[in-house]
Amino acid sequence: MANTMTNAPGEAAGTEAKARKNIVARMFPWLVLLMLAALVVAPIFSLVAGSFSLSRLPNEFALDNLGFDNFYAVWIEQRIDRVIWNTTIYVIGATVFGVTTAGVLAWLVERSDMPGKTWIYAGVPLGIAVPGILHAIAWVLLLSPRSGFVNRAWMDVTGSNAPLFDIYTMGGLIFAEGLRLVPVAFLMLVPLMRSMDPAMEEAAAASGASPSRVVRRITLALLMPGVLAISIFQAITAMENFEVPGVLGMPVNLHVFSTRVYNLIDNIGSIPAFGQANAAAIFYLVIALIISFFYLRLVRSSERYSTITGKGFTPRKVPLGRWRKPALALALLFLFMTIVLPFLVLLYVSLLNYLRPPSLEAFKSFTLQNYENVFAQPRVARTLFNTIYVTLLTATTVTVVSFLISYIIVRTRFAGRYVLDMLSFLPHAIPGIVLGLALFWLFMQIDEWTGLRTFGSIYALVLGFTILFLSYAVRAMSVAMIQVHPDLEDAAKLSGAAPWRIALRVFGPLLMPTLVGIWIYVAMLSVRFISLPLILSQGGNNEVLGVMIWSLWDNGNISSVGAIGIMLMSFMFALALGLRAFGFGSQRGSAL
Amino acid sequence: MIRIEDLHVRFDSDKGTVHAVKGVNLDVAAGEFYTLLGPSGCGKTTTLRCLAGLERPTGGRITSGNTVVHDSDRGVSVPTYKRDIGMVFQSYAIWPHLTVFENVAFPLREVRPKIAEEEISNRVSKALELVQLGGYESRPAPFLSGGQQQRLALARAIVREASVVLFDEPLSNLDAKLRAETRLELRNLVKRLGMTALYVTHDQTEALTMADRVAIMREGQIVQEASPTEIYNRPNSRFVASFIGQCNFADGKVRDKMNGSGVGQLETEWGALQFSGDSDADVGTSVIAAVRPENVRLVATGADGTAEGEVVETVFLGECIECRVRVGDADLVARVHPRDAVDVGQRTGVEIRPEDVALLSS
Repeated sequence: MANTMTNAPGEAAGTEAKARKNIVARMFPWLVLLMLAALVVAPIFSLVAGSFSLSRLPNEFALDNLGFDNFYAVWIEQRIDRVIWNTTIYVIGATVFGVTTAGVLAWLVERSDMPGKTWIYAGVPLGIAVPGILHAIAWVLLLSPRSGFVNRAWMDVTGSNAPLFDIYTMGGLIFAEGLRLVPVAFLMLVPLMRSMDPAMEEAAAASGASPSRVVRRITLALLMPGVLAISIFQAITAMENFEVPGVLGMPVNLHVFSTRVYNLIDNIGSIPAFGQANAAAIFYLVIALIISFFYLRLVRSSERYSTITGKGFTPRKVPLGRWRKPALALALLFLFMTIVLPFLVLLYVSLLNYLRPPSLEAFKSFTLQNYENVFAQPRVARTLFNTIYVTLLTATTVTVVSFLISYIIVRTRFAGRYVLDMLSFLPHAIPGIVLGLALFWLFMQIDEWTGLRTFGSIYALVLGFTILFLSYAVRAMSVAMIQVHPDLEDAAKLSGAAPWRIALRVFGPLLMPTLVGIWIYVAMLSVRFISLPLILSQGGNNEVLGVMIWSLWDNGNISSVGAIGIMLMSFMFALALGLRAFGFGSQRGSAL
Repeated sequence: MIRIEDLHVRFDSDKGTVHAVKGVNLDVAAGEFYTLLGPSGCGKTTTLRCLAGLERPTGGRITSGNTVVHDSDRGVSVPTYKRDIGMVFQSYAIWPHLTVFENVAFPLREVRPKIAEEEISNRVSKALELVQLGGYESRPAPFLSGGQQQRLALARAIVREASVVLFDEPLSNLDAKLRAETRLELRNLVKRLGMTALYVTHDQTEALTMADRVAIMREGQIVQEASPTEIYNRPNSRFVASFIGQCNFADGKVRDKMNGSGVGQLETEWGALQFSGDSDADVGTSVIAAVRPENVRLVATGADGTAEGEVVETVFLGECIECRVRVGDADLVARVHPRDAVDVGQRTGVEIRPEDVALLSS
């Protein structure tokens, strides 16, 4: 009795500390939820508010100057219906072309006896490393109607007046963007094909179905829900893309949503119409949200069809017979067109003193002058520094934040985890240009109220990128975490490890490939993404490489574009090889 | 009905070439239920898949019915879909995008010339009735329980009324109780339909209870082929004896050849032992004596000619008690009825009938 009396005060202090710890632990998920909600909702709110603003400039926003005029103007005067139509054709065309190409490549690599498969398997995802803007510029240099190298050669050889193919058309847009979709679609399709129980097909063969009937009635039918989900995912990507339509469509007034929104605030010879841009962006956002909603529903319902049994399969390889070599040639042609060709074209122009078609004299005149010029400019050094700074900061922030969010979603019974899940997916539906515009409004307002200089700062870019790339990272992270069986943690718990020790010694090492993979992938995205920084860049303070390439291209400084592009691509290839080294490709594929 | 001659299969794996099947020969009569039994990796599934045409043999000849479906020497290889077979897969391979009805109707729809829709419907219903899945026709296949999926796979395999039906460990994904029920049902169904069955399993109970004939495989070869009773009572090697059921082994020497009454004498680690049967081992040959635990009887000590030992361990198994008895230098496990319980430390006599001793070459 005496003993318990003397111990009482100490115990009370202990429970008090414990209670305080409990409150922190319980508050933490709410804090994360709140932070995420602020990140997602605040920009959208300012976007919506701005769309009703009739003031000329965002910082003149006033509650007594609101109305629906912007929506009217966008619909009637700007003919947004035409943009919707263009966007539809462009998105469907690019998606069908891209996913079909990826499907053929994935099938050849996974299910056929094509020679050299490992090289194709390693090569296709490398396409991620070619930034969209450089990809589009390379195709312009090859296929622009008058001066494109290929068209020029065609006209010289045949004496024809008409170009072989004009890249500044809807067809060109679909072609260039379709090729860009292939690497990620390929990474998503490969695990889909790999996870299919080959016994499904064998059972059909044993039931008397001929090989072609097996493909039609079983293989395709089983893959269909997954392929549909991947197609919608790719359609969202195509719709969000700004770089390719920006380079190929905008110069000839062939507008899709992303370029139209940008065009409304940045058009030489006309006053920026910020309110109208917001109104157009809202149409854009609503369509993107609707498609994303269908995507989510499809993914949920297609889980019913899941044929994954967790077994290691060694599916039979379909013998191609005499088609083996043509198949390999086709795959190599793809690699050449998406990776080698853009690099060679840019390398070529970067070594010329003025732009001219390839010839022996042109090769003789090669010079490193452009590289020297580029490095002589202080602007380049500053831009390079900005790019690296933004990339490192974004990749680290996204990795840490997505880890926290995924942990709460996957491993806790936090009441708001479904909301958290939804909120973290939402940014995926926000096109980069729209988020750029939304943040532009938000930062203008913040600066107006507080007198800070958030707009035009480098952190504005980091924040924007973080919101944009969070959904990729959270999905990849969640999938990886689900694969770590809870028993592994429970075993550590029973061995007496404290929660942070479990995170450090069990969870961390098991997830390390994913963490590194996400870090590198986000780094690559931040380097190649242009739409958002294009709107948020203000002078040299936060100019990044992508924006500089864009403005150099706009000014017709092709040699510098070539020189900087080659440096950028080399850097991206290094990152891509790092990504491969961690075997992240297939994991992420299944995550998206 | 099924004849496999000198079948060889080699795989190219990351670790070099694997010789999975090394010269398998077997002959299954029409209507026979034939089982390939062996540990995992022994080549039994590969052999079955060769018969189905899902795996390409490196050498040998396979005949099914009157057709040569594979002959490596003559370069003959009939593709799977042209072979007259039905097959039940270990993972069932139920197509998730089709209903129960359409899963079963699939093989019928592939028949050329086409079968009338009405007949398809009749035959599917009949097959589903046979496996007791009548009334589930319109259900999406993934919404069936494990046992139902298993029966659906069976219905699909028999609906075409192929002459040969192949089973690749079809019961291994069921729980123990369901497995026991399904074993007999499955055998009866196959027998009733008069089909020839080739059944692959690693479960000895399945092999013993279902098969007309069992072939034990090890490392790509058949080591013994006989009826279940024969395999159990007269295993020809230590591997077979220990793979099927439990067995006591003791090293020994033949002391007396079999005499006129068919009984010989052994000197073993357990002491003197009598044996009978068709062994023609000479005096002085080293042999292994194999005795099943249920054939060891514990008797009162002091009887004439019986070995004696001390009970060192007893394990209660419900329907019986396993007693480990130290006899001489070696242990002997006896399985006794719980009524005849003995205590640890007790001395006991051990009686083994001559016909229950199997001699294996050492």
